[in-house]
Amino acid sequence: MNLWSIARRNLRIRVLSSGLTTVSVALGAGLVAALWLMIAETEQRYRQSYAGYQAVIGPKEGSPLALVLNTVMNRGYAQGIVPMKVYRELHDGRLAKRLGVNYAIPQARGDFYEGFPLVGTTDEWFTKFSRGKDEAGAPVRLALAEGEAWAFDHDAFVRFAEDKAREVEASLGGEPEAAEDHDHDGDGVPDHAPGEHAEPIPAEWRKAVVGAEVARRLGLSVGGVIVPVHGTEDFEHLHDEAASEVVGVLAATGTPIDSAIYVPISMFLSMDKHEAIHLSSPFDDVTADDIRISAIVFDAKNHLAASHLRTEFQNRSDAQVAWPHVEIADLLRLVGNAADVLRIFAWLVVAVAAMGVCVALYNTMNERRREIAIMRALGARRGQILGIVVLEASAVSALGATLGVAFCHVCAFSFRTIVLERTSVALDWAAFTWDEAWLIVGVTVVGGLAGVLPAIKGSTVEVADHLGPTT
Amino acid sequence: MIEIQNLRKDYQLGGRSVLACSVRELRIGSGEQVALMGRSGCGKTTLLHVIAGIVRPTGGVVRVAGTDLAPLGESARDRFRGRHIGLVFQTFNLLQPFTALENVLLGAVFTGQADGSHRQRALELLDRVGLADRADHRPSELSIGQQQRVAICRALIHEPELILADEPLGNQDPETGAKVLRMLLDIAGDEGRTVVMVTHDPGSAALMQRTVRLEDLREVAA
Repeated sequence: MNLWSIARRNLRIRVLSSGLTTVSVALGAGLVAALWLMIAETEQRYRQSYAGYQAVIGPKEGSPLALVLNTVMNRGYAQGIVPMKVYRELHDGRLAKRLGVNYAIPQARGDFYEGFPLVGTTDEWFTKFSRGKDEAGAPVRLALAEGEAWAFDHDAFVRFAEDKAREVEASLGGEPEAAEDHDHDGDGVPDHAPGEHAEPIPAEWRKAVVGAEVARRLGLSVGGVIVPVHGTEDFEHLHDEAASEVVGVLAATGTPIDSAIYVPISMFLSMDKHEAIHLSSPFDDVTADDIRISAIVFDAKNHLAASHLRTEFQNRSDAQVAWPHVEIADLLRLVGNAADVLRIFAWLVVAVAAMGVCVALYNTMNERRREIAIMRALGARRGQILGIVVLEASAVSALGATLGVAFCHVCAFSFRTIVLERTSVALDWAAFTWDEAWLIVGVTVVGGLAGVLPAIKGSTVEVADHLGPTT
Repeated sequence: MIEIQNLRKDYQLGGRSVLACSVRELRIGSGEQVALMGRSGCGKTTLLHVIAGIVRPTGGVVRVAGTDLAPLGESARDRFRGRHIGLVFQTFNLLQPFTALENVLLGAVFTGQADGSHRQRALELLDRVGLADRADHRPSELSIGQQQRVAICRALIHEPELILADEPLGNQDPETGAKVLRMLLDIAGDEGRTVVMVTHDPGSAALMQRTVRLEDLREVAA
């Protein structure tokens, strides 16, 4: 027998009150733990997600944040177009030499399949894009869990662009195309404008590599077929002509890369109603440089590339550069402000729970006066009575906090799929942190402090008044 | 064991000082078994509480086991009581959440010296009062007589020099009450402990070595 066993027995005898108080503490602690988990995981995942994206070059329209969100996080829509000229400068043109390019990979966006974005790109996405370096210092490329990547390299893209430019040039200023040239179904109405695709998309372009999450959610595997859809919920256009076979499934990265479908950029730009060429003036010559893309993923060897890029694109009218690490850090700061408010609310819930501990114990003090008087008569000092009550408060709080943290992890396990689907954040439900240990310690201390007031009340019981009838 | 001189205990009631107990002189030797009698309201329980250090005297000297309690602070008196005094109450005052064995052990917990040997002694005491097989029972599962025997064991567990009993027979029938009292006196006698018992019952008082009437000890009120 000791003070702790007395406190424990007191809690057990008031099991309903103790249980309810424990639950209220558990809710508060669980809320704090859940917020910490979400915030930490979100920040970590967001930081992981921009690995490999030193810079993103995109249209001048729209904000840098929107560009990063679209290109890196698969959120929102492309804000405009970037002429291929910019891409070529970065890939192997004057800027590439000056900046020491590692890779400059084009992206064309705007279509979806079952809600997942289609990204038209080149096979450098699989062969050059790197999510950092492994322990041996080797670049971490995107790996395939199943099948193989399609082949469509930079040179093929350039040839495609030149062909497309010639086709459009011919349709505008050269040999005029007859209207029937564009009436494939023979109904007397052209199926597309001159310059848009006229021929069926070659089968070697109609191939797709899907991200791990896409494969998991849609049950896709090698041999499956995707049919892109153009547009938003208000306007949708099914691209039957671009139905593509799944030839590969990417290994999971835990980043938004898992939630996209990658197709050859030639296929993307050849789809019906996709305006591959953008002419700033109808009087200009049409060249491959006029091919329109959505963004360029860029990484350089040269550490000074960042300042050169910034200077280069500061005054250009055809493109802007966005820095994913800066934009996402800003975004996290914005989210962080909201998170701070939520944190305050969560701590308020803990404070209310602590008040609950205080009130619950305080209310029992009247009925416990005789019990306390007996213990005092047996030699218990005020400090020992105070200790017993504070121990009870601390025990309830410690148990509540532990249950709250455990409940948080159970919830994280239960809802990890929903969270992943809605936020692209993969919750690591099994990871316990030191913060959580400190949360339990903190709540225990706060709960113990909440027990001081009732403890003082209990310890000041007049012993002689409660020992029994006087003679 | 107990030396009292010119003891006064006043209570403040409604702004007035009310004399609760007054003792000119009382001496009780070590190992004595003394009955304290007197009419209702004469201050017997107050005197017991003063001797136990539960209340502080307003004036006078109260020396118990060689320690003058009057100048001691509350915490020191609590500590003294926990180590040197065992209490038996009229209403037994067992704690309901605890078993008979745990109630007995509670008598040692607050001494700060409780160890494994106390558990052994608690079991021996329960055995001696015939409750060895009821050690795991809660007070509500015991008869009145059994509860009082547990209370006696609790008063003895920490081997106090002095046992103070306030109407320890409670509402028991005289036969059972006398039996329980004999148990207390036997154990106390065997272990050489002093017993002071407040009682109204002449039959119980007759079992003690000496009877003191509080009226005979009264100092003339100031």
